[in-house]
Amino acid sequence: MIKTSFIESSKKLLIKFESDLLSTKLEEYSRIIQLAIDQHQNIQLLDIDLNTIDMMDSLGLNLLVNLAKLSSRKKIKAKLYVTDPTIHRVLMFSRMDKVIEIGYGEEVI
Amino acid sequence: MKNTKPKVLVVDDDYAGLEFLVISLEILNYNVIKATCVDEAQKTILDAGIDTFDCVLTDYRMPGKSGLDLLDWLMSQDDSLSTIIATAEGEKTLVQRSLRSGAIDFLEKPVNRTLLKNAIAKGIELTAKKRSQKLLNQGIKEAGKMRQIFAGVDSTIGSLFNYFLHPLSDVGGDFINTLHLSNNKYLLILGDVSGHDIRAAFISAYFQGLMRGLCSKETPIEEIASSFNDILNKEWSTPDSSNLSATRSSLCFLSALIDLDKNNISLINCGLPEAYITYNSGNTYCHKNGYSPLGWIENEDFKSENLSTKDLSSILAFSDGALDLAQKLNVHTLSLCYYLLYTQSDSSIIKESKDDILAARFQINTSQDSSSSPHPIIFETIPGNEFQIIDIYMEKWSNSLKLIFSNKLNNLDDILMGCREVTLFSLMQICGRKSTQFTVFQLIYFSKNNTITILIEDSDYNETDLNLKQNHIQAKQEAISLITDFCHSTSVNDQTGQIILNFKLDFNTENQLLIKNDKD
Repeated sequence: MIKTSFIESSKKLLIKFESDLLSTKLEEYSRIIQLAIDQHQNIQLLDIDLNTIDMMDSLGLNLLVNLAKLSSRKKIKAKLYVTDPTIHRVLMFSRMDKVIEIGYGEEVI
Repeated sequence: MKNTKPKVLVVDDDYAGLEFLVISLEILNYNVIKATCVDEAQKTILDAGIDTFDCVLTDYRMPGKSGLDLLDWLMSQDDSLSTIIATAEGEKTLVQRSLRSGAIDFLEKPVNRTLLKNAIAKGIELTAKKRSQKLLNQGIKEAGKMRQIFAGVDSTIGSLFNYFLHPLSDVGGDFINTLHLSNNKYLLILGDVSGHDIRAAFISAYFQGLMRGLCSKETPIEEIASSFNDILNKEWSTPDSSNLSATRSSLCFLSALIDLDKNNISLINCGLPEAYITYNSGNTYCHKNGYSPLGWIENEDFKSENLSTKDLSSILAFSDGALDLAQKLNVHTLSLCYYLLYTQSDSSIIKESKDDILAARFQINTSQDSSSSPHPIIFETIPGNEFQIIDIYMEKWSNSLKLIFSNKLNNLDDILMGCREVTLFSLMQICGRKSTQFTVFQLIYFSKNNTITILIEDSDYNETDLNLKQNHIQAKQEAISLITDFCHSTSVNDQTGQIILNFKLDFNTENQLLIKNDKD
């Protein structure tokens, strides 16, 4: 599942992935995220929480890149949070760090 | 002129009922064909072709064969054609049975015109959907067959090359391609295209064809990567790019252009896990230089890395599916790769995977074969502060050795004890328990001699303070003197400070591990 919440004081949208980021769920995830972004026109920060996922496939990675590019176009500062070493390794060898800031082992505030 | 109206076959032995249905449907602008019994309906369908019909409405009770008989026959001919059964009031069991047999709906007689209109419209729509899906699946299967043709592993590379590929679906995902360019020049490509549909199949085949064609004409791989990156980037920067759910493709690949005459390997990695390069001594390193998958970043400036083949034994690469499976099995990915490439006595572990799995190894030193060359089984870079979780590493190392040696090692505990002691020593004494200092742990298997070598490397490798280095080396020698009883031999390299432990494998059966040199 996926949860979104908006913190008015910091204009931060938090997207928390609570299950694996796999191609089978992407349509649903995209719809929920799109809705959250459209609902809040004044987002300044976007935190993407991957701290509880165990698996991610290539289409899942593409969704994150898509989200990073969308944030960049809207001048939103985006950051990925990850604690699982394997997920972090996937993000590093695919050079996701060139697309979006990654916080490894950091808690989402 | 071809009739473009949806074609509906209506079957009823009752003339009045049949005419009512026909007229009702003709008013709704359908092309209605009628039959008064099952045999006539079957003949009509066979004569015109079942794919020319969009829906069938049949009465259940007819003399001779029933509507359910017709339904069974239709399902056996083309299960995408929607069938609706008309029944008398109160035939609940029949309704349930017809739905179980594949009918999409039922109508109670006398038939209500609104319900008829809705049921037929739904039936026609469903037939179109199922046929479109069927066509798509057929296309995917065909594309899968074509993949077998395009995705070539050149047989002339022969024993130099081993690979394991387990695709999850017919198309897309991981692929492997090799090209024997000239006498001693080889191209190895491992790749992973996002998705498992026809689009993915097309991108994969196009890329592989482009690589094979242009590489055989000596076009630099950087240029091919750059050109393909531009192609995929166009899709990412379309006006639709604000739409998160729009499908976009990316392609990961690792290519190694191996020229044994010029003693050179040209490596480029765009988004695949790091390759492991092993020297004749067994020393291995993880090749980390890499780029993002093609499609993600515009105008990426790709540059291959050139390595000398001198003293190199082999190169091993794999896809992210192998990483995931190794994590699930709690084994090291290199151990899993060795298992998949050479032993694989139990293929059921593959079923655990949710992704394609690809592993490939190229033998660079042609004077060795896979049995005489070293195989890295475990390679870990451990921060000094992780001495506290050494048991988590130990469990993974233990599982890795059990996977490869099928629980037949008598001296497994000795090997693990040796691993634990020297790793802890390095983490605590040399790295000073600091998260910024690292110990590199390697476990190398030499299958010909049935020996395992453990190599522990730390900051002493680059230590410029020679007194400190000498003190460390002395401390290491004292530390390994305590475990000499477990090992066949131990030493500390006085140049690099690397600790070396050698174990002769002791199997608890007469049969030693069988190595499969060539892939079937």
